[in-house]
Amino acid sequence: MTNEDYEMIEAYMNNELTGDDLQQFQQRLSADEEFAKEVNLYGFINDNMKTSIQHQTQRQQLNKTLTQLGNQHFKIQKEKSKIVSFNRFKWLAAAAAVFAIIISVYLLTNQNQLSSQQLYTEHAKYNSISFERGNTDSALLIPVKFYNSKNYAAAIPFFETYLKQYPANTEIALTLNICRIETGLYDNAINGLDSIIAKQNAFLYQAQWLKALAYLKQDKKEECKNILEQIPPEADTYAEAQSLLKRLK
Amino acid sequence: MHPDNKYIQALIENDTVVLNEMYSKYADKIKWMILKNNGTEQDAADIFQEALLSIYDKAVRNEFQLTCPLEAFLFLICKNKWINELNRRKNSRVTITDTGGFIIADDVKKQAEDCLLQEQRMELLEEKIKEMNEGCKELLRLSWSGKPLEEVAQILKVSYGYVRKKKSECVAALMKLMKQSPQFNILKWNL
Repeated sequence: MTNEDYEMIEAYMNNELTGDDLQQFQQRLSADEEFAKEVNLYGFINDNMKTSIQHQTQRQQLNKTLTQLGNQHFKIQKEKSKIVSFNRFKWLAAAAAVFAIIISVYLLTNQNQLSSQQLYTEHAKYNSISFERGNTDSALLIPVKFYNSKNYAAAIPFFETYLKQYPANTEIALTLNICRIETGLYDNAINGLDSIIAKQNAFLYQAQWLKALAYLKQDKKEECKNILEQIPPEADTYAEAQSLLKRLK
Repeated sequence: MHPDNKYIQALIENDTVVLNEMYSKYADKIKWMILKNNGTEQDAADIFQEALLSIYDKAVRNEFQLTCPLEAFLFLICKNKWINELNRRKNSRVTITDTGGFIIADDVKKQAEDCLLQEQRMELLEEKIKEMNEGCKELLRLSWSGKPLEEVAQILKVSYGYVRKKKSECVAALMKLMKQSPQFNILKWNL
């Protein structure tokens, strides 16, 4: 097999062969078994990689849903989620958790003096995003970078553009709404979160939790409490919701 | 078409409600089979999830038509995957004779084998792509992303003729890498 042979195969795959060239190609295909095998493998690679790359985002979304459902239907530890791992530095997270416990013990004794703003700052823990397996969509690299460095205003337009193309990517939609809450675009955030909630999918509880935080940040305590009360015990955000609820009461 | 094809559709559409129903219906049986054969719940969850993803992969390639109840097919896929995993862990041959109470026709067995074979082929393919040089990786990724080669040429600031020539060279190099792998021949490409 020569380079020219492979160029012919590529042209054949793109339906670019005509007349004599096409006829010769087809003759060789039926007469030369080795050649036919090469053409088959070439076609296999082309077709399958096209499908893989073009369904990459959709497959990641499905994987996310399945991980969530797996967590609900099997007794397993939640940190084993496969695709996106938040908490890049686990020891830092652990230290933060210890710190949070100390703070909450301290605050429980002083809870009456807390403003909504303070409560918001303590409960709104937005983790940075990191993607494993190296197959991050390149269109997300810039906004994720902004988001991770807390430059929320800069990230918003990129996420919005991305979502126009991939409206089904709920994880990014959630991230966009975090940016909106952080930059004070509350109405946009609540509208965005409501449409995620309406889908009743695996991101429902995350969306409800964020909506509660959006109200809290605006000092709308009643609305905030209403949402928190809707978060059921099976939700992964239940513990956080209950702890905030206690402090609001 | 079998009525359980609605579950295949739910995988394609990422329909959480229907997928949740599927987990409720089928997860227990898979859990039971894996727990009985030296696995944990985590293993069961992973195997179940991977099996669904490999069915999804077949389905988006329009290569999948369910001809039996999904439960039987899923059980078979999970069982075969679990045997592979046990073999990998223990480095010895393991068999599981449990059929889960399903009577499975030969064509369904063949379909399940194809599904796993396809998955292993894709793993080999993706592993070999990683070994290629950056230039080829970039060019191939762009050309497979659905963009016409003319546009790929513009992005890479080279001529159309060059892209086409280079692409075929890169695929040829990839094929060579794959064929050098000891796994290549077990994966029955030419059937």
